[in-house]
Amino acid sequence: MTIKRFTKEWPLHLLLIPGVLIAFVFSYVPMAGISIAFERFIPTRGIFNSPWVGWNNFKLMMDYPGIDRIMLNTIYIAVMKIIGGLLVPITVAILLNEIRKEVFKRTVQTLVYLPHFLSWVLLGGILIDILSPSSGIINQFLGWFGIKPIFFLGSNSWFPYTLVISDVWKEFGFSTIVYLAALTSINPSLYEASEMDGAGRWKQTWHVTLPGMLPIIVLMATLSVGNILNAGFEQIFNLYGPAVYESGDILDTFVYRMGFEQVHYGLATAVGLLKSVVSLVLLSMSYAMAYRFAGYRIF
Amino acid sequence: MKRMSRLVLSCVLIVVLAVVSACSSNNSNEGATTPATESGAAVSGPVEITMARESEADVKYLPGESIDKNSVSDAIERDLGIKIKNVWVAETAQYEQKTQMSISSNNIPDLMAVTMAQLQQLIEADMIMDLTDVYEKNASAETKAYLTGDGGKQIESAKFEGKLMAIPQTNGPYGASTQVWIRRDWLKQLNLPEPKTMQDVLAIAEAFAKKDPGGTGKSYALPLTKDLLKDVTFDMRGFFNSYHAYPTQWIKDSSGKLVSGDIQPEMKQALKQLQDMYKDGQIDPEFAVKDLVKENELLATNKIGVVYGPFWLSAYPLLGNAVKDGKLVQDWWPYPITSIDDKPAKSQIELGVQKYYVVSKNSKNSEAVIKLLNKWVQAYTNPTETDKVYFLQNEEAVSYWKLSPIRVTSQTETILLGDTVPKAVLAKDPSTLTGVEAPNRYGKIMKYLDGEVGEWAEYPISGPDGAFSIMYDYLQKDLYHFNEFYGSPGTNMMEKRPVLEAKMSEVFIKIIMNQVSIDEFDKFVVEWKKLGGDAITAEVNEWYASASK
Repeated sequence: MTIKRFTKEWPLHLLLIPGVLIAFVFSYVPMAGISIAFERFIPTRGIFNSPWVGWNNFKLMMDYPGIDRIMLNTIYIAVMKIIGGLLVPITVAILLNEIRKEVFKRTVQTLVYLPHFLSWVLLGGILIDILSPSSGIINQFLGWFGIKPIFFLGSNSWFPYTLVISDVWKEFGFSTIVYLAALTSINPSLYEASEMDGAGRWKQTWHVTLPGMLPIIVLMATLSVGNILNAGFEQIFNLYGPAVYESGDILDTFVYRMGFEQVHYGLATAVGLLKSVVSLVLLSMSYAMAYRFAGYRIF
Repeated sequence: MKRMSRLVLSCVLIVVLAVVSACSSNNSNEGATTPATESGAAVSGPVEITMARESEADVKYLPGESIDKNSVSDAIERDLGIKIKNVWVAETAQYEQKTQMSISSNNIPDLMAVTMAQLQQLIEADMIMDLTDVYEKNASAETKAYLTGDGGKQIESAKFEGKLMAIPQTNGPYGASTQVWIRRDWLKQLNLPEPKTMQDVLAIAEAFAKKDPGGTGKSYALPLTKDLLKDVTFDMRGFFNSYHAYPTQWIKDSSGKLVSGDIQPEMKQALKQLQDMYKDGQIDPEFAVKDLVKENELLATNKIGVVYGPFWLSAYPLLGNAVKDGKLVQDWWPYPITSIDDKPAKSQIELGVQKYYVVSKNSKNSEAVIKLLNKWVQAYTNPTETDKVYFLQNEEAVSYWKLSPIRVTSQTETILLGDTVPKAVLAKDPSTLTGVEAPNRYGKIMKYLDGEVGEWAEYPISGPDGAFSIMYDYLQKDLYHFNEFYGSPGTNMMEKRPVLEAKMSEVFIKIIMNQVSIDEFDKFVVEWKKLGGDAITAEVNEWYASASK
């Protein structure tokens, strides 16, 4: 039976091979590098000849003054980004969906989608200018309301919020498109039926639109849980400095500083490995939940 | 379905095995190509020296020549009767790894270049020769003088327990020293004198910030970046040097022990000065988020007129600001760093050696190595007609100097340009200039003086009273401050330094931004010691004791 099915489906398996090969070469082979986490890695000696130090790098990491602060920052910034990254595009998608003028709708869609294509290197420079307390446009605007200039990128109390808001602003257009696609799949007859039953716009949104979007919302939320320890290296790296280490230093920037600036490869790999292990656990949990609540599964 | 997935799994497994076996067979190939060393020289005829060689990408060979057989090796055989045999050749990127393999397998050629860390390994493993006597007997007077142009620091770094264990690949250490660059057009505009003391510099900086000669509404005194002590372009270390503080260096204290320059009281004084300037509105309040490129915008828009930096600052980034539409719009000029008190300010620099030439313990012809060294020095400083081949540089062949087995560079050549080029410029007579670099620099300055404004950058570097002549002057007056530690980082330094450096930049920037009081520096010093600073200091002193024996 199965042999028969295989003879029928073998071209599909053939198609699978390049993907498996790529995953193997680029995702599994480099895993040998994990052993650096247990070594005092010396590049000239390579992975196989560097002295073995066991759990020493992990101990060092735990002893690192401020590692708790870095962990907290990572989770705090990531959670806020996930929440913002869910709420804003859902709202925008629902609002856009209410607009009947196609031209306007498409223009807005394209405009909010644009920042997604800019790199953080570029945006970093732009943000430094527009958020500048002395000459930035945002602070000039706030000045009209009598608000004193705020040093968004240089003050520890503002830095995390600046990160979250600028990240949501950059990426919400992209997710909005996903939600808009989900909205098109809702059967229009449901709206007609609810209208017959006397539901207004608000009730329709609440009882038809939102339940219709729910599977996609759960899916997106699930996928973002796996990212919880990725608070956004590229963005923070381009915006932060020693002045905001206290509130902006996350695991990835820490790993970068240890690995590339201080050439402490062992410690950097140990932190990265720990991060991956935690992410794996969280990801497995979120898949289990996604299956349970939204019937979503990859296999 | 279950059987199905088993099938898929076996497919994957086959692929995996194929790749793994491909990898491993590849590995064994590579292992087999590692050649065996042939030590021991021919008894008659030319003396043979085996070498490990680095092949550099920018060498262009004459037709039919290669790193194993070329005009330079022929000339060496002709002039010295020495035959160079390369046991292996590796590209720059792999060279260090390959030498490490040779060391690990206890199979080194007669002569090769290694790093400081490898040198220490080789000494510990007792694999290399003590060159003290060979060098003493065979090195020419010129060679000895040439290798000690810096006062002997570089050759000293190759000595262990008083024995010369390697020939340092000498080089000029002075290029990293700093000057203070000031806009002369603003000095004239505000009728200010050129700076003689640190107080003058501070007064100039304040005047530039307050009187706003650029007419932009808001000006600042100095360009600080968020990479405060790591930025080698806007290099603030010169500012700290004015207070006799030497951040990132190890210095000798009164008891002869090494201590970290980062935590000395002089640092506090300099930080206090920056904090006062910040409070006074003289420093860009947003510097903590800006890098070099961003901070340079302030210079470009006429908001800053005083910068600390190295001799090449005029070439980058000042040139882009200074010359607009064929006109010089910002007249930057370098001045020596000044002192805050009556003790002269010293500019901090590092040792300057990259590699060390070592001779295998089993080598039978160690004096031939010194002969090679002598020949290089003679051909470089005082070439005869037949020596031209050592420095072949024409359309058919490029960078032949890199084919010489031993290459040491003058520790003082660049800095001596600070004496010769300005004199030639003032006399408008290039006849005294020799070599390649000096006439080239002279030519650029002449072009600038003839009205080619695009060539401006060279003028503040090697022109009269330019950066090179300042550096020459530093040398004459012994105003260089060397880092006393030049070993390879030990375990404690590897493990603890990252913590300390992150802490340091955080605290220093907060102090300058007046977010915390200057007394936070004392707390930082206590913490620095506790977080591993003491352990590193002990380690460094252990190295110092063994290195200075």
